[in-house]
Amino acid sequence: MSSAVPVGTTKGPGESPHAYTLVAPDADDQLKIGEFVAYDARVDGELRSVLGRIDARRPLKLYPDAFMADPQVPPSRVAELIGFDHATPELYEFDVAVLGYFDDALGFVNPRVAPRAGRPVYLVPDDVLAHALSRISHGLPGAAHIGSLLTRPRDRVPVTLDVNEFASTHLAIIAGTGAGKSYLAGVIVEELMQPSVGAAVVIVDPHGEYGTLEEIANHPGFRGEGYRARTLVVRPEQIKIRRDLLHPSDIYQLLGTTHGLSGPQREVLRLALRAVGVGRDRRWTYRQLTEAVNDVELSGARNADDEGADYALVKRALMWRLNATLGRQDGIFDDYEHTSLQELIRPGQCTVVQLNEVPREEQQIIAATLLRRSFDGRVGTAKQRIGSDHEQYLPAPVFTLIEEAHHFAPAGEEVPTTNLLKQILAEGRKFGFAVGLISQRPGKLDQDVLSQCMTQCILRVVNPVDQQAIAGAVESAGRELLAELPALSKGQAIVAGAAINTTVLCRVRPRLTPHGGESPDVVDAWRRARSQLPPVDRSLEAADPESARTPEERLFGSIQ
Amino acid sequence: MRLARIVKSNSHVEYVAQVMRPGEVDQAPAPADYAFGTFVAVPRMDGTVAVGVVFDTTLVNPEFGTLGPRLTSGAELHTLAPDQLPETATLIGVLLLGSRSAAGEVTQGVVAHALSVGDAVQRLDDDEFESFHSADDGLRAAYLPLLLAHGHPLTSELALAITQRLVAAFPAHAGAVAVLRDSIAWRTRIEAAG
Repeated sequence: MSSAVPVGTTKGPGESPHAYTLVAPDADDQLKIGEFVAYDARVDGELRSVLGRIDARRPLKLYPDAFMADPQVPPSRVAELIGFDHATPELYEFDVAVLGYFDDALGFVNPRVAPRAGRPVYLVPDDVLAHALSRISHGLPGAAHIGSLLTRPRDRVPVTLDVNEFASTHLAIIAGTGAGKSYLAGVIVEELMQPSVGAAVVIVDPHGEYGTLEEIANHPGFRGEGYRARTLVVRPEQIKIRRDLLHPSDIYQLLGTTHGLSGPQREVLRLALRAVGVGRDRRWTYRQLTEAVNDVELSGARNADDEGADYALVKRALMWRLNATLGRQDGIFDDYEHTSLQELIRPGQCTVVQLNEVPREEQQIIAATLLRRSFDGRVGTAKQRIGSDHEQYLPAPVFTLIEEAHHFAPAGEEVPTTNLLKQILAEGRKFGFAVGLISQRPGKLDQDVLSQCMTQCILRVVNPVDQQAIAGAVESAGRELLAELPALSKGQAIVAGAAINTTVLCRVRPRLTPHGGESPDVVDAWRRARSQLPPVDRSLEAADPESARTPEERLFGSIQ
Repeated sequence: MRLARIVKSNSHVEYVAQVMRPGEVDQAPAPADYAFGTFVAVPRMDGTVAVGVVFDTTLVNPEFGTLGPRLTSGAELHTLAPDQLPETATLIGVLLLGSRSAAGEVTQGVVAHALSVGDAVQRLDDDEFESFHSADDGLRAAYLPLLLAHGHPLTSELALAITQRLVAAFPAHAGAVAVLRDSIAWRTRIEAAG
């Protein structure tokens, strides 16, 4: 490092124990927020290059305001007039967060002492940075190449995520509308479908934005020796789940969180489920269940009439709830048809479950059912409770991306997926089941859920409530960098957490497949619609005396 | 035109010169010739020329305060004591702003060599004024910070007078000079009165 040209000089310790200040003229505007710099220091007798990240930049010496009075006269010209003709008159002070020296085995090791004043500081060379930032180097199996370091020219320093890490400890993609979150999600899916990874991916797609990932199947970039990535785009009507494969807890949760179950209703349901043998590997139909509800012996119900409940009404209310969820003719539950989990979830396949044009409540039911069954499948397979002949047998880890995650785990509200997601986030790692949550409203997303996603990709967020939610839930990204959130451009992200060695500002790479989340051209749609309209019949306007009056006359009557 | 001769210095850059009187030169300078802000040149033996500006004027009159009884009137004194010279004098303060070498190279700011008593002070004509302020890339008045830091009560006004003259002499650079002039004017007039 010492052979490089210094760009600044250390000034002294910073505000925190792991920060220092740096003074530099920065004539070439190299020292951007998020840039990586280093100084040489002797640590335990060995000369080390201690890396740090620039978090803040303040001017120390600027031209006087009065020199900027005339927009046509640059202040440098005025300064030159009075004999000041230095090429770099400005001087800046930078706050640098110390990351430490990089050790291949340990990652960044903080020397735990601020640099002495007057040490030369260098820009970290691209190759050193590429090696130090990413846990797995670009090109190696298990590295998801999502873009390049924003502070360096495009593609000079690749930014890669460790797939092993985020596909086990979960991922969050947070961004405001139009900042590029579904684009980045598409990039990550592309990386997961590379021949070197070949993941089993499921995407819960409430807006139908991920259909373009079908191109993966035809793209040569997703083929390898004996491998060809598959994509499966399924509509809700194509997914069927046989009712008799549901566990009682599925049904309780389905009814309880969508419509709420009173104590008597829950009791009647329990007795009916027991009567038809739900959860005991017995075949039953929806009709048998409804009959069982009607046949429940009220006198036999434990504590059934403690509150004087009218059980005819209780049964009717329960039937209404069952019909609205489990019994819907156009829903995903069926007495005979069943979409095998193994068909939906398999390594090397990306399954896009398109839920657009489906009411949100039903989206939640479908997502909850899919998640519950696949998670149970993974748990059962991992614990060797179920064998390869079982419908839920899932031998490979599963990564599920959930768009509009705030609909599936909203803050302060319980929906069918809430507790399930919390359970997956807490226990999924053990069983090879990870989720990637995508949201444009982190403020409306359950904070426990968000904080358990150990890798975060945060794109531009302008809403202060959302910024606060991110700051509260995302510990690994420094507050100084989070202050950059509103200033990020489309396709620029702060990447932090377990799948990368340190927080970086990243420029998302171009997609290999087309992006499906573009905003519609509304003006063009209006223009085309106008051209197709029949001509207006003016005679109708003339026949209507109201149309002949001015708006004032219509309001106040004609002035006599 | 020879205006005055150096008679005293107050510092390395601040000198006092006595304006030439009738009889010392063919044509004695009029007050307009050594007006406030007039640029002057002081040629030296080595061929260099120190360039300065008149920033102050003082009138010296030994008779001021001698109001006792007189034996003769002023008119009779010339007859009775023909060798007595009038002792009133006009002194000007000259602040050195730079120099010009024998080869014509201009340096603005503190001059390296001091002046000597008796050095002649000449008026700088318009061409020499422009030449002194011309640089490769246009206009240069690098002495202004030195002038503003001098501390004399009149230096701010002097700087304003100089910038005003520069605007007229260098119309191509009037914008930059005007920014500087306005900045000085704001500080010395508005902020000082506020």
